[in-house]
Amino acid sequence: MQFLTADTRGQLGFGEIWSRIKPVSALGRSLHRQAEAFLPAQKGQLVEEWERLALISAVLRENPKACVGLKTLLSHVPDVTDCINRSLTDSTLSDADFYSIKKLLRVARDIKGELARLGWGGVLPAPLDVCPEVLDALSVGQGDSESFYLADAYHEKLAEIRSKRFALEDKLTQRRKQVEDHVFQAVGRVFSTEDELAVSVSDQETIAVLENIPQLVRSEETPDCVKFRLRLDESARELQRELRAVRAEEEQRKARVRERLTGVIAEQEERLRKILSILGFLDFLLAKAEFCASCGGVKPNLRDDGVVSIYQGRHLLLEEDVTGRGLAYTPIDLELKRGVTLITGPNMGGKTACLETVGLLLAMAQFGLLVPAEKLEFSPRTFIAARLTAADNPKGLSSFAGEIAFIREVVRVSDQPGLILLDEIAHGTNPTEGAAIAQAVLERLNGQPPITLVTTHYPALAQLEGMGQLRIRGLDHARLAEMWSEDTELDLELFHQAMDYRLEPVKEPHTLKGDVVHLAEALGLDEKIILRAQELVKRGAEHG
Amino acid sequence: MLAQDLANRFRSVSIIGLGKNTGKTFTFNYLLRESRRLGLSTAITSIGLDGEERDTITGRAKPQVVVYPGQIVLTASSLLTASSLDYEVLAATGIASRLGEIIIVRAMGLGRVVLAGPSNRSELEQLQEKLEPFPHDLLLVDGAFDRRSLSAPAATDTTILAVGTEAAWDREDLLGRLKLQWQLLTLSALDNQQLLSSIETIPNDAKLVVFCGNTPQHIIYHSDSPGTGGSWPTYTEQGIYTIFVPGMLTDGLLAQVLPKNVPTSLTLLVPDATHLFLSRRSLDILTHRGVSLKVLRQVHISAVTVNPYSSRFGCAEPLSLLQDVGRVVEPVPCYDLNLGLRYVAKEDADAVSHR
Repeated sequence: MQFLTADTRGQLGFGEIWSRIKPVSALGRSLHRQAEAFLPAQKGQLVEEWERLALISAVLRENPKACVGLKTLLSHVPDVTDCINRSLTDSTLSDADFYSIKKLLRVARDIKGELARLGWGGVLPAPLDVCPEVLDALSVGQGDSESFYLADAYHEKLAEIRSKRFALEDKLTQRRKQVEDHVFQAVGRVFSTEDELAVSVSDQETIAVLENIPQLVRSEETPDCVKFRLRLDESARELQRELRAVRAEEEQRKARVRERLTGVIAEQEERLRKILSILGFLDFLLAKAEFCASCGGVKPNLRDDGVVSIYQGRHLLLEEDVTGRGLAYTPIDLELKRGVTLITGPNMGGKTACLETVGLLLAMAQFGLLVPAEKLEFSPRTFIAARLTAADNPKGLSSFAGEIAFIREVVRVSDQPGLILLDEIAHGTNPTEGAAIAQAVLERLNGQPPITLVTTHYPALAQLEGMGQLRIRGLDHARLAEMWSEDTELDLELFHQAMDYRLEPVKEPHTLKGDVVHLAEALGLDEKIILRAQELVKRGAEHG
Repeated sequence: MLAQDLANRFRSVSIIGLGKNTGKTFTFNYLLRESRRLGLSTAITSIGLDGEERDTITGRAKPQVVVYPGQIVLTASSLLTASSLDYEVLAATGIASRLGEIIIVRAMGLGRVVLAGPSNRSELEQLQEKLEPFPHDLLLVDGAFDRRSLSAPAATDTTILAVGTEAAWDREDLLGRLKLQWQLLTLSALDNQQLLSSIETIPNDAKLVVFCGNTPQHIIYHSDSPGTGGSWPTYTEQGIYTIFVPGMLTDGLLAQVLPKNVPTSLTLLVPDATHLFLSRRSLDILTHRGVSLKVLRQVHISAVTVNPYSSRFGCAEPLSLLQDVGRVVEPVPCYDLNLGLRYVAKEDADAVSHR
């Protein structure tokens, strides 16, 4: 089973959280897209990753702008993988390719300096070798310029050939310029095209002037205009021929230099790829560290006993939603062991939120992130699988069918230490048979390697022995009575304020406490219906 | 000289056309020659076609541009490799085209090159940012004839409109098209600071916003499927309403957004004229129903050029074309650059001046 399926990613809000990590280079973004979780066999690497993040995010918490310079440099890192690959084929790299590789090496050099200044050299998985020889090879005759030019110094003949070309170009340009100047002074006109000047037949004065310029020839006449063409004499044609020949020679020389430089790139292929890999890693690491610093993440601790222990764990998206509505958010505290743990409690008491929080925190931790909690201790899982009611599941039979497919899959992998999150188990069918199926599933999963966390409203399940039990404390009736006077209506805000969302362990099998009628009232259900429901609840309690 | 006038007042100039082969590239090359004569340093690129070696409309090979030493060129890397130009690579832009990444180079000699620059406005804006560190007097952007290149005026300081008989040989038809385009390109900008401030706060994914006074009353998002944008606001006769369309306003969208009972004061607002793709009929409907059409940012037009050559019908009489077009676009200067003529309005009769 995949560590985190796309479906579970979405249900836990992991996709949204992951999208908030924003590398600035194409290399970093590629690593971000392809990132996979650290599995139990990679504990050592996982701890190293957390330690790197803890080091950087501690600095960032002190000074959020500490790595602005580094990030700016990283944003300029070009991905030259394609250039490196082409250098290994028969093709010769272009000047644009050399520019990109030179840029990479200059940026890598500056990043190395910046890392040393920050004292962060140790966060890299390997020392950053910035290939100074290749940078030198791409900087011949160019000083410390960022640009790339096949300068004269690349080939002993290049300067000579270029000098010939400049002289020829200059001669041709000067000849043309003389005529253009003459025309401009005489009639105030610029040529219509490279070689032609058109004049309206209505402007006989200009036509007469142009006819007296020996370097122009009357080339065409229409009813509307007369065209004059630049006269090209034999010496000009000879200059053009020479120029073509010199250009061809220059191109040949430059082609040889390009071949040589391509060979240098091919020879240093491995070192160049290593630079790309390290810079991509660094970019991704900084993006994660920025995220972790922004959410007050802490370094998780690993345990070997399979227990998950969370203290003051927060689901960032739920927290944003709750506090965004001006309400107080309650972090969760819990401890989970292998086998099944049930969570019971009233509707809107936060049972689903508990599942989401546990799943998200463990997913974040195993993707190498620091986690928003006071403390998280756990053993890495081989998979996280969630089926939450809040998710956009189909209703009726198809919803039930979907749940059964999910259960079938998690039972299949129940010999592995995964994390299974099941919300309102078997609620999509009739209560008697639903409860029976639920009990059978829980009995099958209990005692198995996965941690299975299940929410339910089935009273029978709360009576089961041998499984962990947690309960949302629920409505604080004393508090509610205090706040709910005759002048105030019971609304959702009041309900929320009177609700105690904390979890508490339940030692003995117990009867479920609903608070559902109060909730229905707070949600605005008709008063008569509420009264009748209260009467029925009371009668049910009296009859046991 | 036109190039001098442009360089004195602007940093970037785009050239758009009333149709294909209306003289855009001719105007572009002419401005380059004038710039060279004046000793101006120019940067050059094109917009609109996604790195095709052939013009997708005419099927002809895209023309090469003569490049002089020192000139800055922004084009696809493979076109530079294929050219005989000696150049220094100044920057890679990260903007990809089918012919390779668009790169910024400085010519180190005389040569010719095919331009294939950004394909849309946003890329052109990015390109200008990348160009910033390299000193130049004027950026010239040659436009292809397609919707995307028509967005260039919104990304450059000023624009030149090329009008040619290739767009319509029949003079009445040509002038009708020109008047429509001109009416759109010269729409006045909204002058209501409060409403402008309010517009700045609308979400990026809004497809349409109805303001009553300066307050957003109804927003339709791009993600809204047809019919789910909620009910339209009820227009009151006294209310002052503005419908802001952040994207393209086409005839089809106009038919959807125009309320049946137009209130006394209704303004349709778009970011700039390059977002308008309306027919004459739609404009007439707006006029008839008393709806005002405005833009947030006015497009600046420095000049109009005329091209009497038509590939199907030959050459139109150039002076009368210059006069006809000049009258429509006055007071914006109108030129026949080929013949070196400029339209000059006179009280008794129109005339042309020989330059």
